Amino acid sequence: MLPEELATWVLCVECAILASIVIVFLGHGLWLQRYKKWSHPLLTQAREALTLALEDPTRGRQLLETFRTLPVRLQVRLFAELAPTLSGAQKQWLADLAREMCLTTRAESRCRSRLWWRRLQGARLVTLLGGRNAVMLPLLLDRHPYVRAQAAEWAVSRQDSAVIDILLALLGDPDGLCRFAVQDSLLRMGGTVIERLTSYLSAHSGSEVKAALEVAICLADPRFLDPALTLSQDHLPQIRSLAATLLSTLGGQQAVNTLTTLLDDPAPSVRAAAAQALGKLSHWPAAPMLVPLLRDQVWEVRREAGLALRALGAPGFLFLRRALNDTNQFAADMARHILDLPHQV
Amino acid sequence: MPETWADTIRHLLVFLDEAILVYFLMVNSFYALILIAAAWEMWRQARQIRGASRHVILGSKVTPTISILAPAYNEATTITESVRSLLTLYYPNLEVIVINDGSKDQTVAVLMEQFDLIPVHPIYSQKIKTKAVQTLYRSRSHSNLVVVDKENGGKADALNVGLNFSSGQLVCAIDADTLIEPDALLRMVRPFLLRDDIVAAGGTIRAVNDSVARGGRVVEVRAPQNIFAGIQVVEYLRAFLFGRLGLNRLGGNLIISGAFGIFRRDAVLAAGGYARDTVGEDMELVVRLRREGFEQRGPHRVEFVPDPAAWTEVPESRQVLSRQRDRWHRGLVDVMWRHRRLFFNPRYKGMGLLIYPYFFFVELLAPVMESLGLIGLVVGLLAGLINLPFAILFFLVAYGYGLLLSAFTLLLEELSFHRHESIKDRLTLLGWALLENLGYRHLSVIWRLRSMIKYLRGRTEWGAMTRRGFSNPTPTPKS
Repeated sequence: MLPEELATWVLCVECAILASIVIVFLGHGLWLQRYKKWSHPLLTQAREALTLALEDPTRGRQLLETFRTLPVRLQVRLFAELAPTLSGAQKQWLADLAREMCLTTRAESRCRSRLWWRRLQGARLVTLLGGRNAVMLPLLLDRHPYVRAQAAEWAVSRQDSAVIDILLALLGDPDGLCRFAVQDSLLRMGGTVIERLTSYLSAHSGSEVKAALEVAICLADPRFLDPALTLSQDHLPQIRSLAATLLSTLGGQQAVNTLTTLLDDPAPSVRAAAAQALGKLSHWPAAPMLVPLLRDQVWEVRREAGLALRALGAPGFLFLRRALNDTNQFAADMARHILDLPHQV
Repeated sequence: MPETWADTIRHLLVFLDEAILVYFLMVNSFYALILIAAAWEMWRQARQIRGASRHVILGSKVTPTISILAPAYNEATTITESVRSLLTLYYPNLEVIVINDGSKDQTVAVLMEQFDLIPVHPIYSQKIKTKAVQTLYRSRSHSNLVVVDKENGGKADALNVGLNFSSGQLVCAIDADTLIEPDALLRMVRPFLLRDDIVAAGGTIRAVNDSVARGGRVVEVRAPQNIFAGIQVVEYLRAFLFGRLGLNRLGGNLIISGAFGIFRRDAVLAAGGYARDTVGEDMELVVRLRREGFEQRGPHRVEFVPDPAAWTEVPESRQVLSRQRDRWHRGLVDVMWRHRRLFFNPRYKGMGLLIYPYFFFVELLAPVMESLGLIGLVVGLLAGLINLPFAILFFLVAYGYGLLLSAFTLLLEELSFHRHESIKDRLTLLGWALLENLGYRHLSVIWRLRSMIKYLRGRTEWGAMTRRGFSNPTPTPKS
């Protein structure tokens, strides 16, 4: 048997908690509605003023009074909306405005915070508004992966060799998101990274170069030829496959010769990549060498060989049609399948 | 003096009620732990995504490819809209595979007409054994659309066929009638970019009933007016924003909803795909992936990401809902039995020591304990064996706390995503949270008890689902 007081006490506690939750729940809803009602016209007005000012910066300063009166949170929101859509002089104008309104200083001070999420917020703002190297470079080596990734995103706008070297070193980052951000930044930097990336590819091997090879494939610069040829002999099948794909973006007799050799590689993924690469290069003399791969033990190799033959055009189609009568049922089936595919696929 | 039979029964009854009260206290304490973990995780994830640009993933050439697997069975009326919404998702490297699981209606004919499909020779690499594929179609208008027509074999078999045909690094399993938010994949792929040891990630499923959907997109969120749908909105929020998010922090999830989940394709293929002999194939796959990951010292993490949402229509009639819950609970019992080796097994760390026992004691046994407690309480009160304060305390611990959890989940939703715009909708949701404990929960106990009996008898039927469809939502006046 329990005393009545205990039940009453529990009831009171539960009611009090429930009432508090309901008050916060509904109160937040009401506040949100009012806030939206209040901020919407302000934002619209400020957005219009900012857009007009962007069109005519000389006259624009007068128009910006509405913008200046906004709370910082809304100012940041507008900057975040506009900044990714701008480039060149307009972006610089926006960055100057942010500096004038002390938003950049505020963001930079956040970058120095001890709390990771404040540093992240600061880094995101600096990426949008622009900021000093001295603040952002240390963040490339931050202990929190999200901050490192954000700093890598910022680095796109700073194409100097020191930044590129740090980014290349970060290609081996243990954190996937950081690696992804670094790869993406290197890709966005484009031509400026080619030389250093070539040196990186020449100096490294094995799993260390995987991320760098993926970048090189997308950049497709002829200077990657030598490291690609070397890496096509790497001990890891994954690296050989990527090297084959890289060779397919470069072309040339040396690339074709290497790819032809890779068609006999013991690893199926390498054979498939080599076949795909020859198809991509539309190197029609390779057609007879691709036909045996239609009889390969591995489905992916057969499929890539079939697709490669299709990519070669008329000579490839000729071999595919012949393969329809192949004694090997797998080859005949694959040829039928490839010939049936619509052109768009 | 020797104890009489009546005394023994009386003592037993009192002991039972006290034991069940202790059970509820322990369960509630664990819930409190999950609650704190969920709030912490929500805070952490909100900090991570606040102000983040998704354009980086969208515009990147190194984003992993995703194959969406959409099994369809008799979906002729909704399939066009569903597939169109899938094809227009914001994601750079996307492949959509629709698997027609032997539909008896015009599903394939509709697809052929709408997406300019042509049959191609149906060969593929059968990495997982499935029922026979009849025809393979490719689209002339959408190069990334593949339609597979196969013999009927159930959802798991259809998903396995999809896995055989898929080429993406990641596969996203959905129900063909699920509406996915346009940027949901960009958000869901984040854990896979972040860590290399993730095998699966799940997102939030929300109830679409009474909300307005246009062109395969939910454009206005409203609280359902139907009692069953309304209570399920609260249930879904509690299950996802509170349960799965909290478990994320405490040792990982064992469930990813079959309606929307992303998996690492090579891990699923290595695990042998979906099990066909269970009605809880989605949970079974996740548990197996995690278990094999632990055993082979490979990747085994499962993440829950709260912000990407998929919308599904929840049952509005008692019969359909009871069939659905019956199937879910049979699935749970089956998975618990298949993977009983995990039970308090330190080899599987948090999964074996905390998460599996939680699912066993809380999710699986809850209907048994709750029904025993209620029966004991009623009998005890009638026989004068327990006093009213005890009965009140029992209700407060069992149901009052449940109400608090639901209310807290609504608050969590309000502070994080606030999808329901109007105050009227918020009040409606509070009403449903309150009503859940006044009858609905008891119905749910009966359904789940029945499903346990069915499982023990060896019944494995799926149970038919009826849906209203997304195209014609019943408009309700806005407040």
